[in-house]
Amino acid sequence: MIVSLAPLLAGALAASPCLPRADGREALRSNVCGLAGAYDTPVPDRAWRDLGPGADAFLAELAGSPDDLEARRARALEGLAARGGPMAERTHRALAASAQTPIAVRRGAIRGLGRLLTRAELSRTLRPLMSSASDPRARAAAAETLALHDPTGSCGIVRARAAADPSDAVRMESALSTCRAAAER
Amino acid sequence: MPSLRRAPIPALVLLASLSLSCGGSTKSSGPEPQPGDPCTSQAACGQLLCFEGSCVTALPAAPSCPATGGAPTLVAGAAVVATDPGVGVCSHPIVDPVFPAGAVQALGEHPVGEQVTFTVPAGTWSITLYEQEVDDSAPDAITYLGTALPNAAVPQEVRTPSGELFYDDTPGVVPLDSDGYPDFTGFLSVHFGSPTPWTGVATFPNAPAGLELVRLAGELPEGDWTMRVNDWAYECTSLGDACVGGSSGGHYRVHVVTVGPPASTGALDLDVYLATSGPSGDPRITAAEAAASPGLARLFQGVATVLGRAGLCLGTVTFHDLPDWARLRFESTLYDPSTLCDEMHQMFQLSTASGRGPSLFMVDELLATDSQPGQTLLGVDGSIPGPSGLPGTPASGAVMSFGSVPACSGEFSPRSCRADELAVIASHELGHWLGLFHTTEGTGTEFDPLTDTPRCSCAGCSLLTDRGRCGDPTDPMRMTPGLCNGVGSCSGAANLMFWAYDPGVSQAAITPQQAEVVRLNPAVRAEPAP
Repeated sequence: MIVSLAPLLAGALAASPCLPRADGREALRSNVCGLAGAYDTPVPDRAWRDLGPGADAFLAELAGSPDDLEARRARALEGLAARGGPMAERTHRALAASAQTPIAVRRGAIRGLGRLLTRAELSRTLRPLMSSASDPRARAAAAETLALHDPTGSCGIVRARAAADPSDAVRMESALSTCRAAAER
Repeated sequence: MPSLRRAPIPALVLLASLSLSCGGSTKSSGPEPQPGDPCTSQAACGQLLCFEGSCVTALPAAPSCPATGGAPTLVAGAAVVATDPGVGVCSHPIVDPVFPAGAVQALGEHPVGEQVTFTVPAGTWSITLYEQEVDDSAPDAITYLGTALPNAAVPQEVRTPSGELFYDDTPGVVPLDSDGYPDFTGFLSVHFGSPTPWTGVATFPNAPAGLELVRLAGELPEGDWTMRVNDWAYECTSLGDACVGGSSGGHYRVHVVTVGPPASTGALDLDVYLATSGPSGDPRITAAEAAASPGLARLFQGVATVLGRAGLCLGTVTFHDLPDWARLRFESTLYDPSTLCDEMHQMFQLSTASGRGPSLFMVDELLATDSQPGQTLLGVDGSIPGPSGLPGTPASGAVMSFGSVPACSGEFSPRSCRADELAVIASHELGHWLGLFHTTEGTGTEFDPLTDTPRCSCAGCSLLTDRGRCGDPTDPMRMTPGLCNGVGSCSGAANLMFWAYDPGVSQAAITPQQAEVVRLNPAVRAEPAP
């Protein structure tokens, strides 16, 4: 019986990466989950970068954990984006592309791509998302990110998209505002 | 950030020693104090409370809450009706407090610097002072020591009938603790100054000496008190070159609410506003669905459990739908601390229900925009404390993000139940509304004014290799819960009001002083629900 319970126990412990663990990663868990749990305080990039080796994998695990609070998962993405690197990009791309990702996490992943990709790569990645994602909230997040990071190249198609669909126009209010501000500069 | 609102202009109050100099007997040895023993100071009662001259085990319970821990009642209330003012359009209406007639003193409109008088009746436990700016008469911002700050409406020179200074906001010397950080624990009352240029609120007492003063006498001094109408812009005019943008032109409408008598319990009702949206643009959850949702029932039962530790009964939780334009605009709410015209403060003006309790907005996503491209927050308050009984102002709300809320069964367990985790976050924000500050701020250099909340100072608890960053404004330390999970001097992460939440560490604990501060807020109802 003890042996047969082991996988279940392991599953329970794995439910949230932020639960205390006895696998030698407790210090890392504590640091990552403490920063991700700041109630009302933005976490400076330096704090994420100071987490040291091993943090990327933990942050990616947390960002992808379906058993965790959406806000904590989005925070983990912000930590990854601050640290950069291949795992950060991979995690952001996967969560941004998936319609199964909770919307707050998906929007966080889309926003984070703005920090991780070059302008050209961002445009190649997010323009299709803005045009064809089934969820208008994801389309709006893509529009906002493009407007913020590539206003010259993307505001034209953001405006066109908003004009083509009245529901997108409402949700893309923020992106359009960013484009207007960029045009005035 | 509201919870970080440790004003660079220090909020000053009278040192407790001035008011407690009457002393009193202390018992450092001898038999344990017993209920009924006479006392003239808290020290005479040991673990008991010195209340109205006798040691007691607890203050009397309020009729509204004979026993904590019961289930709140969840109902769907009236939908908010409001026309769209347009994107980025700010207003700051003046509203009347919703307390019953006779509970509010309307002192009229007064310029900054003017002294006004209000009455504290017998049996008063706390006073709450409201200032609302009239006719855009005050600047929205000032620059202090080179840093732009929103103006803040805060009272100045609050004096008892005998002329004793009970609270003052003018700069002066603040004692330092053994680590060299400001120590407010010796004050009667403190106000760290939320940047609220249009609507200011302060509830006193909220520091140990003030709390004890009231307990010993059973009430605040009865009679005619005075306060000076004030804002930071007015203070700025007397700070010379250190401050730019000051003005003595501010006019404020002033109200005072008194609460009493002291009690060990009380009831709190909530108004909850839902700003959520699904892919189609329809609400992710309506008020009617929320009132019947097992997950939200679990969440607010969790809030009742946590606030029950402060002696509060969670009474009625009333959900409200927002108009479609507001729901779609605010389901992803932007909070920009550099302006009071951000989405969050605009949203808070939709808190139009007529309750005296907190207005909690639940949104899909909450982002701080003082950094690009925006960082996720768990929750924020419009001011600390919140303007209880004053709905519809830019400060009249607390907001938290929430996603799916599956129901759980069994005992309250934030480690294993997402609804219970969200309950801790909601309770933290409600704690701010009710007047609690972070016990330890993230930098580990600022602390609340209470003496029974554990501290975790950067100088004493960070790693030796990091201590050079303590107090560094450009590269501050972050005192994570793991650094503050010990006993004694490096603890506090278990407290509800620690600056960060870690499910592996937090216990949503509330200390007796925190409980007292929370209960004397005018949001808390002593009388049974009608």
